[in-house]
Amino acid sequence: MSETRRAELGEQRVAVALTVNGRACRLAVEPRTTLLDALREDLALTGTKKACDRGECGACTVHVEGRRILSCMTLAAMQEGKQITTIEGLEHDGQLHAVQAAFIEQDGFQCGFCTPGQIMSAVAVIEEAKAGWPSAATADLQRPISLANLSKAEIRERMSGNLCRCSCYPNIVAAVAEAATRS
Amino acid sequence: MNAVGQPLSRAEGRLKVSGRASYTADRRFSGAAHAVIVHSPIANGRILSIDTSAAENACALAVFTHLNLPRMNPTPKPWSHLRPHGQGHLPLQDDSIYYAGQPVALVVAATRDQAAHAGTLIQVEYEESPPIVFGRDTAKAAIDPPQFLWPVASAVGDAERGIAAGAVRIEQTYSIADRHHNQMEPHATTAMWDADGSLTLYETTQHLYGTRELISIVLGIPAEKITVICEYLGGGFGGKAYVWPHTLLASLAAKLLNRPVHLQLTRAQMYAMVGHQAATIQTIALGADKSGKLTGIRHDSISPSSMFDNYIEYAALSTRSLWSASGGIATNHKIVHVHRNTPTAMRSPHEALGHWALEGAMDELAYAAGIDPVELRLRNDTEIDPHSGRPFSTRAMRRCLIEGAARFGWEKRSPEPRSMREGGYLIGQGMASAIYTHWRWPAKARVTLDRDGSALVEIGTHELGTGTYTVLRQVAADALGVAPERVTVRLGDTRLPPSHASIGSATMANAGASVMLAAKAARDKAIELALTGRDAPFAGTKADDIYVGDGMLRLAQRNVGVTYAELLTRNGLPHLIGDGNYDPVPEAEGPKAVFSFSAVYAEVRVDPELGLVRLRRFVGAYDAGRIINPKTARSQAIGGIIWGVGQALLEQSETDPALGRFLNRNYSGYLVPSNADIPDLDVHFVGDFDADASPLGAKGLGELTAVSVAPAIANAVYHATGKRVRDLPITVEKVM
Repeated sequence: MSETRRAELGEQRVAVALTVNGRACRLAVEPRTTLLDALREDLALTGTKKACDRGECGACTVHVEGRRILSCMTLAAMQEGKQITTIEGLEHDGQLHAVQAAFIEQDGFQCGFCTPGQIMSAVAVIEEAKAGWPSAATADLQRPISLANLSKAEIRERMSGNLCRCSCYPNIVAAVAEAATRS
Repeated sequence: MNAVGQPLSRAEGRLKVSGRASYTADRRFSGAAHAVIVHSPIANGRILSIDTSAAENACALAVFTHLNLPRMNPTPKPWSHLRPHGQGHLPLQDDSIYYAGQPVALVVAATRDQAAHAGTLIQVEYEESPPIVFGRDTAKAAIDPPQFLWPVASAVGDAERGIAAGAVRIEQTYSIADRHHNQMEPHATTAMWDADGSLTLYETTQHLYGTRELISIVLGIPAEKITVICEYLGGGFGGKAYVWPHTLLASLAAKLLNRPVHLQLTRAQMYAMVGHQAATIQTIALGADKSGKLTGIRHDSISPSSMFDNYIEYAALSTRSLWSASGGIATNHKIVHVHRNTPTAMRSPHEALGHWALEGAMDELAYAAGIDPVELRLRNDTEIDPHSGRPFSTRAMRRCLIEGAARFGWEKRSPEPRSMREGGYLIGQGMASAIYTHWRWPAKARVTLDRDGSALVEIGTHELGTGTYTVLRQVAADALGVAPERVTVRLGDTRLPPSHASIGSATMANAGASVMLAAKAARDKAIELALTGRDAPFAGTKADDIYVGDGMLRLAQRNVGVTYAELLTRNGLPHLIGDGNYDPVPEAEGPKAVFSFSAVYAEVRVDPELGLVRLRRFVGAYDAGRIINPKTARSQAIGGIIWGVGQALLEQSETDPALGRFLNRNYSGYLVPSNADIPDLDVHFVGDFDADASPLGAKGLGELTAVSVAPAIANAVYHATGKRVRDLPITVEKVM
């Protein structure tokens, strides 16, 4: 059987080693399998959602090596050896992450489908602000951003890669702001 | 302390923020196969040949087309989208093509990637004919459709004479683009059959029992053999209240292959076969005397439907009841059959379309008559529904107008267009009012009071982001006199007591009422035990003397009480069950006209050189009766406002005029509001308890809040620029 034919049948698989939520995982996935599908189908981590499957909505946001990434826009095989964190990995010892708690308190979600992606983005936004990264809403690039001056306009801009059709945006902004002050 | 009225956080919040809430596509079943729909690129014609051999040879477990899929029973006639039959046309039954995106094959394989790949190998040859596409030209051939909800036309008094007698007259055409729901969660189904011929469907639905009913009819199996389950829905907005082709195909494929079949639509397919909001072309005519009092209103609307169904967008509906007009009010609706899938209800069907024309024309009238837009509406407010002649049960329109204006600071507005500026930007302020239909529908519920003092609420309703788990818990907690944390809510399963579709902003008032009745029934059984049961603690007293609270029954006169736990233990009972059967008189047959109301205020900033419109502030004042949970209610309101911002400024499904195909079938081409588009929003509730609306006093809220956002923004754009845009969305080329 030719390699092409084997690939067509999905019989050609590649071995991928990932560390997901601190756990070492060895997968045998089709080369075309996205990180999103590997998480959902191979690892049964269904907290990460498939909504557009083409990098437009942010629902599938996870962290790779601590940075947010759209898991539908990368192949599992491209993340060999990487540390992945999904929504299931945010809680520690039964304690919600400050961002998760703030989303509940500020009612930062309705149907909840985009919420794992929103929260993974929000956690990253706070880390990016701590690291002084600017955004398109940053007025003065000479003065690095910090958590203390993470304004609503900054949060809105930085969270705009995550669509919410229930449209909880003001509450999401409030949740991120609340979590930022606690961080 | 009562739970109702408290801003409690969502009962299911922890599950949703941790990724553990299980949506339809999150469930895993051993042996499940994956199905993918292959759809037609053409909008009109027929299939000449279809070659599935390469797909079968590749990796498909099965390929179904019209040549080998068994025939289904026809959908009931006359067609009605409420029963709920998304569309009358059934998939893979013959070689005809009526719309682009129509399924032509179903491919089933071991994995989704394999099924998708095999689907690309299917070769279809079509005979193609030019499609009929909706537009101003085809609208000329519009026809009178049969009624499926309200009467198609209405006439009170003589609207034409009234308009002609007016000192000020407005007549304009307003239009709105086609729009798509674009729920974040794509439609998904997993179907599995048991050996005894029973079917279990995990389904993205906001109408469990309607799904069961239609599957029963079309597949010819008794309803009691069908279970439909949906515990969490990733957004509905009307589009998941009906049965669409993929559900039927997955169900049949699972039966034929004798294994579970899972199917999730792609984002692009969500533009083709699961409904959408039809475009409208509306003509509105107003006449008014010099004081601005309306003398006549005429409102007509034309919208497209599919070739096979008579869906009507009742855009002129709310014009029948919003304002009074001394001479009369006339409305009418027509449709055009075109080559597309059947449109359906989308937040907020009918009302959010019609108010665009009515409240835009009211603003035009305000300028033409030289009257402040708020004052104009106060002068035309009415306590009697002009359409039915019945008094409104409650109508806090005046409070909405006055309190909304005060919060917004309307009195500081300078009325002249182009008179407010900030730097190089034009500032505009506009407002609009709204009325929304209230539905009274039957629902059943069961409440089980356990020996440990906890309670279980069971009802076949839905959680689609509206906070159902939370508000039903609050209602049951108060009726039982227990803490809300002691109440668990189970919903989303046809094996539970049946409720209605979660549409029409009706769940709180109706499903909620059945839960209240069930909880009261359980409580009354406990009271009965306390009066006459074993070692009855309150023997010799009356039920009226007993009240509940803190998980106890208490006697009003004496400082004595007994917990539910003690009472049940004493009587050797594991639990008490209360059944609730809410069976209201339909709204149209009641003595009062029941509607929700609002007045909304918008401020925009317009870049005069680029035509860019930014929403800067928004105030919404709402009369939705009693608010059960101010936190989740406010969230619904901001969601509705933003939904309206999308309608006003961004959303349009563009159709290729030659191909008859929706073109922008993704979030890059179909723009929905993002976080950076939205400023702070001010939500204000002014309603009071409305006993005619529901025993809970609540009226519909979720959809009301998406109504009249667009005219308020357009009126603000006019105020900013002097340019009257009458075609939604308000994109830059229309402003420049």
